[in-house]
Amino acid sequence: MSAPKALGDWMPVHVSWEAGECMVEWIDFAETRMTEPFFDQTVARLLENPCRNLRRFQTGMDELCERFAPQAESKPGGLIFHISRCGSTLVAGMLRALRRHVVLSEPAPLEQLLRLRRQVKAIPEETWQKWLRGLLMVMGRRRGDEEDCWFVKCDALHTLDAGFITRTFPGVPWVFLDRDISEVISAHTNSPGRAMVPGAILPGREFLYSPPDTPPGEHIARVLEAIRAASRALPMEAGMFVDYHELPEAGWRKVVAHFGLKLRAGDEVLVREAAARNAKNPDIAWKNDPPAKAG
Amino acid sequence: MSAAFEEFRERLILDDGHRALLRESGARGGFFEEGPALAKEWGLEVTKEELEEAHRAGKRLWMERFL
Repeated sequence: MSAPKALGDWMPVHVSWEAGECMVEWIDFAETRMTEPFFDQTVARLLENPCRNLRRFQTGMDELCERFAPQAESKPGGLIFHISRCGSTLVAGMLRALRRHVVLSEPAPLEQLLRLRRQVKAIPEETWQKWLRGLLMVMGRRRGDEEDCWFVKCDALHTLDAGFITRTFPGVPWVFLDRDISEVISAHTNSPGRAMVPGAILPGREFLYSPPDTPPGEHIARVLEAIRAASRALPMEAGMFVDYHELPEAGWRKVVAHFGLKLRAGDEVLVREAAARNAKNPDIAWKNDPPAKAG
Repeated sequence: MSAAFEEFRERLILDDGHRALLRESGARGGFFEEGPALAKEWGLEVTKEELEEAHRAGKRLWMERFL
C-alpha cells in the first residue's frame, strides 16, 4: 500500500511493532477538530464514516519522523500529568474550549509507543525520543488557520514515563494534577480505572501487579503512590503542581499562566463555560466532589 | 478482499480529488452506493457488499484493539 507524499489531513491513530519495525497507522482527519474528551473517541466517531474507515494506511515510524514530522514544526505548549480522578480532563476541556488550542487527550498512539519502549529492548533511548517527538508533533500540528498551540494530556500511568516525556520535550511546561490519595481511592473504588483492578496485567509495569484477591483499596493505593512518587521525582524547572480542590479557577489562572498563554477578550467566558460542564460527559454540569475519604 | 477492492482502496487514499466527495457521501450514508460507481469509472469492479464488509472489518479491528 502506497502512502501519500504530503502530511495533508492524515493523522496517526495506532502504533504497533511488526516484523521488527515500529509501524504507524493513519486515517483521514480532514475537517475534524478534536472536540471529544478523549482522542480515541474522536477516532471512533470518524471511523463511523465508511470512507474514512477505508482510507487507512500504514507507514514505518521512521518514515513518519523523516518525511512527515518536518512538515509539522512546533513543540507542545504544555504537558498534563495527573494522579487520576483529579480534574485533568476538566483542565484539558478548558484548554480545548479555545479553538486555537488542540488537546491530544490520552491518545492511544502515545500509550502504544510508551508500552513498546518498555517492551522492545535494544532500541537506543534517542531513537525512542525521536519517535515520540515526531509522533506527537505530527499529531498536534497546526491543521487549521486558527490553531496556534497544542497540548498533551497523558494517562495517569504515563506519569511513570514522565521523565522520558519531559526529556523529549525539554523546557516545555508541565503540570501535575494531584488530589488527596484517599479521595482518589474512593473514586476508583466506586468505578475503577483499568489499572486499578487487582489482577490487572499492565505490560511492562509488572511491579504494579497485585494478585486478584488483593483488597482493591490496597492495590489502588500502591498504584497511586507509584504515580505520585514519579511526579515528585521530576525536575521542577518547568513543572507545577495543582490540587483538585483549586479547580476550576486554577485552570484559567495557574495553568494558563504556567503554560505562558495569553487569554484574549472573551476567552475567559468560554473557558468558564467549559469548566461548568462535566468534562467526561459534557451533558452534565461539573461539580467539585466533596472530600469523601476512603474508609 | 479482491485485488480490485485493494486497488480501489489505494486509489482512494492517494486520490485527493475524490476523497472529499466520498467523505461527504460517507457522512450522509451514500458511500456504499457511490463507491462502486466511482470504482467503475476507474475500471474496477467493487461491490457494495465488499465495501460494507470492509467497513465492518475495519470497525471491528479498531474495537478489538481496546479489548
